Amino acid sequence: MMLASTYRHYLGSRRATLLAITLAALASFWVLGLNPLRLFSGNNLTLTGDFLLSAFRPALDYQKPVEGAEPFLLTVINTTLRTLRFALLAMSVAIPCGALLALLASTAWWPDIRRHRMLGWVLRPFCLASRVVMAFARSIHELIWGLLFITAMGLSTDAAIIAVAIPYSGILAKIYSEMFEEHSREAQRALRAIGAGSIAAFLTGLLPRALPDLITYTFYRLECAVRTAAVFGFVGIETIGYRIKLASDEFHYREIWTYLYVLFALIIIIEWWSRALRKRMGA
Amino acid sequence: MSEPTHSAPSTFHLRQVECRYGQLKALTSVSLSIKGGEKVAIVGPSGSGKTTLLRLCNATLQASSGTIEILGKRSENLPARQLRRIRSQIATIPQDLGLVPNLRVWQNIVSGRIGKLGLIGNLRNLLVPSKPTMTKIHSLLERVGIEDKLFARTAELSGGQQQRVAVARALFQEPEAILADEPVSSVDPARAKSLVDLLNDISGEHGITLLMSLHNLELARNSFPRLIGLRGGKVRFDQSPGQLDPVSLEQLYHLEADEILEDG
Repeated sequence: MMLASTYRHYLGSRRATLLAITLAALASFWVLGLNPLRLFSGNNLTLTGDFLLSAFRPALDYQKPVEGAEPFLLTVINTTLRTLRFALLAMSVAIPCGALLALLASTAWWPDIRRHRMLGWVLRPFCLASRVVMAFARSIHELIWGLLFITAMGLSTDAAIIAVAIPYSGILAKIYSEMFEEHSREAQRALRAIGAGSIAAFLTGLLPRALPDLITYTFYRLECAVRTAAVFGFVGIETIGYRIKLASDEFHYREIWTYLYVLFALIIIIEWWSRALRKRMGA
Repeated sequence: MSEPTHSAPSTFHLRQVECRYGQLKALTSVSLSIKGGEKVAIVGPSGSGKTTLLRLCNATLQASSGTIEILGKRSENLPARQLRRIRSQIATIPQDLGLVPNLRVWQNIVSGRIGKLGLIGNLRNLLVPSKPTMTKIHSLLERVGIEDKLFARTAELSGGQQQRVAVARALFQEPEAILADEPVSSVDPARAKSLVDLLNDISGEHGITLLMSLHNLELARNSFPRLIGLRGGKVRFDQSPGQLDPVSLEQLYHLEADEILEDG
């Protein structure tokens, strides 16, 4: 009886939550004046149709060839490499910064501070400071950081890379430090019990255990960095997004699709790479 | 099984030890001495203080009062370096075994010397182990009966095989004593007996002191020359199995002695 009533109560509260979410969604549509039907009205329908049909015929050459321009496919390759380079550079700054902040913010490698009280007083301020820096870095979106740096340094790839690296360091640091805290400490404790120092036990007992998850998340962030690199194209940095914007201004939908497929391929390759590495790590 | 001589120095010597977690008294006035090469089982119901006693013996826990000598050294208020040195001489097989599942078997075993080699030495062993090290690990795996698993991923081994990896790690440490906390709680009786026998044999071969906490009273009676019964944080008996009488057992579990023996 007791169980049945608890179950009913649980289901009842779930139903109410779902209903509230649905009503909120409908209200938002109304307030924002969204109307999906507009996609299919008048000229929009033709444009939508053109765009969707172009998906089946991605461009292999310029839709409107320009005299003396670099061949289309060469432009695609160069732009793709530039996008990838942007993402990798941003990540190569974000990973060490994120790892350092994560270590400072994590207590997983600390010695037993009940025995070493003084050390606790030294470590705690670093931990707190690192958490504040992490929170600040990731609370501002990369596009806003971009706006700040491009204003300060002019429109340059360097400025954009720094703008991406800052929030990404904060995000990586947060996830890394949570992974350090949440992974099982059995092996770390066992190694401490046979005389390992706190850092040795962390590096041998906890880090190898967390490594597959750290790698998976880092690769996911690399994916995000590729997407962000594309978005920075709309600001004027020469990545895939830049080409998509140029093609879009000219209504060259088939060219847009070529670039979209390249982005898709990049994400698939990163995913495959991440899986292969995870497998090698024994996860 | 030869009884250790009384002249052998104590591996563990506890005098009037009390251990509290906040208000909770985990151990009260425990006094006992375990000599080098001795094999001792600690028995008692859950929450009787078995794990606390083992943790005092590897100095991962400090007593609230009383004195503890480990390998002839007082363990209280030792500087960190000396504490680590003592711990590196005592192998501990925890209940959860404390292995890293995604490392290979040899990598888990090689970390047995982490206390002696320190961070750099251990990292070197983990990344580029020397040939003698690998030969040693292989021979230890042969001793515990899983030599074909040297390069296997630890997570891919069965529970029983993982226990043997933990035993091999303890042996690689070349310890003075092995502490095992309920090492057989998660395997079937046949496997439990075989692991307890293995640890007993190894301890005999190398003259290593063995201190094991066990739930299974029957197994403890059949495998150890000395039993320490704990209940409510107090030593209720400290005898050889032959001297054990049903009254002591009844005191320990508050159940009929027959019931306990059959259950075992």
